[in-house]
Amino acid sequence: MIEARGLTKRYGMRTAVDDLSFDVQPGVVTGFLGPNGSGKSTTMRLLLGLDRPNAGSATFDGKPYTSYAQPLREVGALLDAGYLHPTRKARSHLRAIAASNNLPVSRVDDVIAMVGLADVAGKRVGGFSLGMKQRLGIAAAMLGDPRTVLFDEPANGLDPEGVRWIREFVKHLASQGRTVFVSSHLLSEVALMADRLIVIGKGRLIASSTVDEFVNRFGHSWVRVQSPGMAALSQLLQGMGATLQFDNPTTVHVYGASATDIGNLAASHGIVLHQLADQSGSLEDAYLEVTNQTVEYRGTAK
Amino acid sequence: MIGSIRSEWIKFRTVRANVILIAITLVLPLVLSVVLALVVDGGDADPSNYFGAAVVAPSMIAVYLCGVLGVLGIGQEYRHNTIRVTFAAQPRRSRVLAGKTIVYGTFGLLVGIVTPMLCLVISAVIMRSRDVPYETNGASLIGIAVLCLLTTLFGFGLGSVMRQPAGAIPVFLLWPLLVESIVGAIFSSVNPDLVRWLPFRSGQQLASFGDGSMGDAAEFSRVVSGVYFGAWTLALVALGWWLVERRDA
Repeated sequence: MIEARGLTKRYGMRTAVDDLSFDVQPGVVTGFLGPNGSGKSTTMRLLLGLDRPNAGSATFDGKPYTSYAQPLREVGALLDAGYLHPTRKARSHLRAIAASNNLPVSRVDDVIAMVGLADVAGKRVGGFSLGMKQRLGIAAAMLGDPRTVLFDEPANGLDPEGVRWIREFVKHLASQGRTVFVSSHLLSEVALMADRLIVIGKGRLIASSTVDEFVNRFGHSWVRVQSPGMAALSQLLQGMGATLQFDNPTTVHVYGASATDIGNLAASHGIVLHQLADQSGSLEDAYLEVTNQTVEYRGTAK
Repeated sequence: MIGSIRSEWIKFRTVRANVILIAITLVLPLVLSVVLALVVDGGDADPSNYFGAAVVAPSMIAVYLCGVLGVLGIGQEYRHNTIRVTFAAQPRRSRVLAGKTIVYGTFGLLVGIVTPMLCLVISAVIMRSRDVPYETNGASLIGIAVLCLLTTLFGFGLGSVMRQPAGAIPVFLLWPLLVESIVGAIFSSVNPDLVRWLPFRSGQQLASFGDGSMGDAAEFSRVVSGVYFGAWTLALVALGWWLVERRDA
């Protein structure tokens, strides 16, 4: 279990992480979601003691990361796939990491096979694609068979088959009871693998909940109504305070009224309904809604 | 601690730049020693000068290359951000630094012992065959070993402070070759006794041969020079250690 309490990190005048507190539970995949520049990677580095926080602390199973003499047996982390020396061979990279924690050399071959890099383990990593580097980073994280894993944007650079592989991989890790914390700015990716979400924007916590709770809380819900008597029905609906958005002359999206209320209203006035369906926003709608005010960098489409 | 040393040893010998630099460090002094032993004319009245030319001078190249390796020992980690992988695997940074200090220090000491000995053996054989008078200086041989160890650690300390090798290597090379030459010339014109306080100038006294003088200036003795340069090295390593512990990785 990861516990972060009041984590704060400032770089000069800029506050990258601002009084951030959250828990990451074992046995589930927890997605760490936020727009680019929202402080996800900084938070990861703070958790691992790589950056010194201005305030706050973080623990793994009750102990600060820096208190572990051989942390790879407890926590495995993929921070950035590019953190490699280009002229070092993949196996040597892993052997050096394994040696630092007194892990047996056999684990190096185990994790190389696990991520599917056996054919290129003897090659220098400078020639690796981003996807291969990601796999090597994941192999390094799994060297100590840790109880907790942190993956920062693990699907970056992976092809569709690789993305599916990482999705199944993190789910499998969680099913084994491990604590799995996966950051991403790609909502579609997180939606498919995470059970819980921690959402941040501009370094501050926006939400910490299950995926369903998040959608229900931040996503819009409405009722889709189709009726040949829409002219009369729309006046009645507006009369009861609902907001309408017309799809076409006979179909409308109704906000601010439940399907039951609309059905009762139509029945009491003898209006025929062809469709009456609850609709809810996607995770993407909820995410965009909640992070809309905190996006650091925004492009314009022409 | 053993794990950190093993890890640093693996890293030390698995980077291409290190392998090339190690090969040059081991081979170039020997080649120079052979060439110099073949070309000296044997007319010098002081036979210790042949020792200086065929053993000390080539060994000094190895000394400075070891210093460059020391810079790269930590500089490359910052250059490629592998320092984050290193400190994530071993968050007790002092263990990582101790491992690097031991690996690079041991390498520097071994080069400082082996290189002048090999230069001595090879050049002695050549010069004797050419009837060139030859005088070995045992204290100088020991001094070169200590100097090589200290210079390697000096480079490591400088790399720890400056982090980026693109800046640290020029500083390391220009300090003795340029800065101390200029400052030394200024000191000489003001008060020649000041010159001995220049750290690299003082450190080179460890390898001195013959009458031990490197010019008109009054030098420290070999031992005092070694202690003085050692103090600079220790201070730089301590500063680097403190900064690495304190700064974000």
